[in-house]
Amino acid sequence: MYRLLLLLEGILFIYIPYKSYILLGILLSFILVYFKKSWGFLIYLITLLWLSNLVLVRSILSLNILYTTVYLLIPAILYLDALLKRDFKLDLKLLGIFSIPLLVYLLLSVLNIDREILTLTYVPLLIYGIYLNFKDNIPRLNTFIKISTGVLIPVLFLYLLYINFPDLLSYPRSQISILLGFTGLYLLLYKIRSINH
Amino acid sequence: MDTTTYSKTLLRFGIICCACGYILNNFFGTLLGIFIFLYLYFIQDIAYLKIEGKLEGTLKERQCSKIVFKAHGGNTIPALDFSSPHGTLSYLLLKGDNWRYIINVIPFKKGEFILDVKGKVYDIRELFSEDYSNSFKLQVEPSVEGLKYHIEKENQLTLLSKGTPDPEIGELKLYEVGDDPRRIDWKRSLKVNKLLVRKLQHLEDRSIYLLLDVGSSMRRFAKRDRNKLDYALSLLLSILAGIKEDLHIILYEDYRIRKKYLFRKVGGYPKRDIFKKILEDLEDIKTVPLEKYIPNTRGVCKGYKNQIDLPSIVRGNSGILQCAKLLSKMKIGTVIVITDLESNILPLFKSVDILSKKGFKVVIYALYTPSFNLDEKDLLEEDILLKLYKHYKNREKIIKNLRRRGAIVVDVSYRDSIKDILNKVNRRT
Repeated sequence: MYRLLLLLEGILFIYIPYKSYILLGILLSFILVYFKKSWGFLIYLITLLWLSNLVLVRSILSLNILYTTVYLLIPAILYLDALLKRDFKLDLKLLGIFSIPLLVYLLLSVLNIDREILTLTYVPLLIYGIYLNFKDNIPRLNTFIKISTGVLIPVLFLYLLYINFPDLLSYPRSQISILLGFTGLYLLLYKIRSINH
Repeated sequence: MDTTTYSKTLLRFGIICCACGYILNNFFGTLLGIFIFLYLYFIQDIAYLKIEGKLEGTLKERQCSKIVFKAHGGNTIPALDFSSPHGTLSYLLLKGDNWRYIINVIPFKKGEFILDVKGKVYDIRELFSEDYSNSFKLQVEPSVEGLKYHIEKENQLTLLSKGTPDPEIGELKLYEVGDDPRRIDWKRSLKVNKLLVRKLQHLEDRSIYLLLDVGSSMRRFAKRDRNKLDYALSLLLSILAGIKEDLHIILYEDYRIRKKYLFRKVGGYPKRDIFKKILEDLEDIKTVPLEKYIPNTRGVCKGYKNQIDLPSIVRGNSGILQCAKLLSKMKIGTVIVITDLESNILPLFKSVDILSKKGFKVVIYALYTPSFNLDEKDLLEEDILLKLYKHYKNREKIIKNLRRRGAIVVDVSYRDSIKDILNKVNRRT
């Protein structure tokens, strides 16, 4: 339940068009999972695809990418995990803790204060949510490093290339192709290594 | 580790996201696709797909006993299938902290009982799966039910092995309060002046033997759409539909056994497989078209004496007799023979003698050849009519002879549907 809350809050806090429809799609998938897993799964995937086309991020080195990762990407993956596990236990204590950002959001909008504090309340809860989700099967350090390098190494390469050729890599499509190429290379190397083992 | 439809769908979705992001110049879509790939890799790494099975409970011979299969394993979903050659069973899955299967078993015999467990184990997200197979050995305790069953069976066997001409006598007993009144045999009760009831047969352990004649006479046909072999095959299959015991099918020719099949299964047979196997073998058999059908008017003895022309190796060694010799070494059961009574008559008599002496129940489905080959137009010829009459008389004699030997003979003609045949069988037994 807390993962659903995290995703809903994330969508609420970020600026995107057709926000209410996306929220409705996610709630619909949440309801349908009770009846049949595959229905909810498909509805959620369709909603995600639509969401990914609504959120526009032009460069990987902008601040936007940080916000979308924190508010959308990680909660989306967490909710996908919950959906696949069909794990929606109603824990009132957790629900209370995870609705703190919502209250803060309301408070800030009423008082008309800058929203920087919102991220500061949301991020610790997100980390706590990740911890709660993978608490039962804590990954080995090896796996953790592998996954984090899977994201970090391609991004790092992209940054180095961008410094050297800023005019060449200002266009998003060229950035994406570089990122995809490096990620694919990384996955390929990992796969070949695992086969050899 | 195998992938399920969920993980395949997710992988394709990731690819679509990456492609969408690339085409629309959007970084978010690409990143979402990459995150999904990483998620899949991560789950594959942490998925632990091993379970330890434990069995609890005791088994009793011929009694419904309960055993519990507990699957220990963190975060796994088992989907298992249980089977055993030593008994019939049904099972139920209970969810909980640990997954439990409750299995109801009726073992056939005391002693060893082997339970085969096969199936798949899924991880909790149903993204990956792995095959699981294991077999457990259990001990079955003797019980009163089993003893009762064995005594009843022994009684039945002794009655049958004496070669009583009427096997029905063994199945009668005096009427007791509580018995089903519909099973009272009124004819015999009148004779003895006491109420007699037909006993319920224990059919589970009896084998069924299906013998199909594919000899030269069966192959001949005058009309292509009325092939005797095709009809025999369809008859065989309709018999197959109702059988639940061990099943042997033997195809025999005039002077040798062509092919033997053995099907043994507790639940039921994969009928399509049997049908396929038999059809594949029957493809090799060439049917012989006739220009004109003339009824066979030779007597019983004449047909047998023809063997003198044959080489000495095959003399006195016809297919049906070989079958009978083979069956006499096997478990007692019911023998169903599908043949036209055209050739090898004396060997058939002999084998019926052998089988009924051993205690087998013999049922013969006799195909009436002229019904397959003659139309109403053909009957206008006087010559053929005369021969047909002779043929009919001969056949009548043969069938009477077979019935005297204890076999149940069912006369089958081309127009008989399965329903008619069933009515005939009910009338004979």
